[in-house]
Amino acid sequence: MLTSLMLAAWEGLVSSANSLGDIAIIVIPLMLGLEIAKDTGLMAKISRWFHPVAKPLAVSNAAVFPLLIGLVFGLSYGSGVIINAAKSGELSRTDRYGVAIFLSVSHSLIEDTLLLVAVGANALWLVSLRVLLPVIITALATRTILANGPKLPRLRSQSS
Amino acid sequence: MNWTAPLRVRYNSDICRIIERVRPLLQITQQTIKNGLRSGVDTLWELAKAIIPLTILINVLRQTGWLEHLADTVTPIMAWFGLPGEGALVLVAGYFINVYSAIAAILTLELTVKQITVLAAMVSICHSIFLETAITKKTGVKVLPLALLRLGLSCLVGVIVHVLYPTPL
Repeated sequence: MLTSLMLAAWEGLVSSANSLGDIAIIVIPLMLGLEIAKDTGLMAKISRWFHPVAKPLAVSNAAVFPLLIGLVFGLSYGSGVIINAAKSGELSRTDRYGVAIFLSVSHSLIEDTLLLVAVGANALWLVSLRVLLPVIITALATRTILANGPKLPRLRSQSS
Repeated sequence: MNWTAPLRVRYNSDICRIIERVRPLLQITQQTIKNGLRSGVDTLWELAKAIIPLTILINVLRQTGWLEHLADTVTPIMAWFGLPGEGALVLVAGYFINVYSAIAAILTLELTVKQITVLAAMVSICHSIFLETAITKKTGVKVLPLALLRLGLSCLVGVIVHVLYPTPL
């Protein structure tokens, strides 16, 4: 009994080490590429192409950059940009809620999706869901609940 | 000597133009490479922390027969998503810990591409509820409705993908 448990644990250790090796080949070049895209200002440039997206989402152009950063890099990684944008005052209340809703539904599009595809998920389904859903949800929210701005609670960063 | 002036101006402007083109590349410093490698290694470390203990735990649980028992109790719920009872492990790991743990759990189970896609869609919409709620809070929005939205949406998407995903013949 005990030996079979030890054996199961050992097998787990070996197979997890194998999976980690496979994932390393994806993750390290990917993160390097993303970092280069950020530092060369490529992201800022790309976010300008995505300004037309602001209209269907009913947010301002200024909201597109934090939105894109969060979508590509993830919440914890992009939190600096997102929090700064929220504090800078160039985002309206609707913008902030819009960005928060969008990013709650979908973020770290590249990293998480690649990892999940690496373990066997269908890439096309995953990517289209993760892009379409937040757009639909945000567009709905900004037009319904968020349209009645005054009813929303005041934001802390705004009052201070 | 009159011709040197326009020539020099043009020469300078050409250099300027080239520098302007290359300037973005000059932003790639040692720090960029360092940061990129670091975040790659960090991700890998996060994965290792999730994958190694969870794989061992699940393997041992399976060996003792507990896993089968746990799976049986949630089988009716997981059937909504077209998943075996064991699929609940992936959801619990993803919702409460993080995506990496969900990936670890997926690796230990034998699932079809469709089932993995359902799980991936569900987990990528809703994961690490506790941690991410804390981060979202810093942007100054109400977080409880957002967390509930994600959870509800995650289940809804699970059902939708299960229904719409073409089953191989």
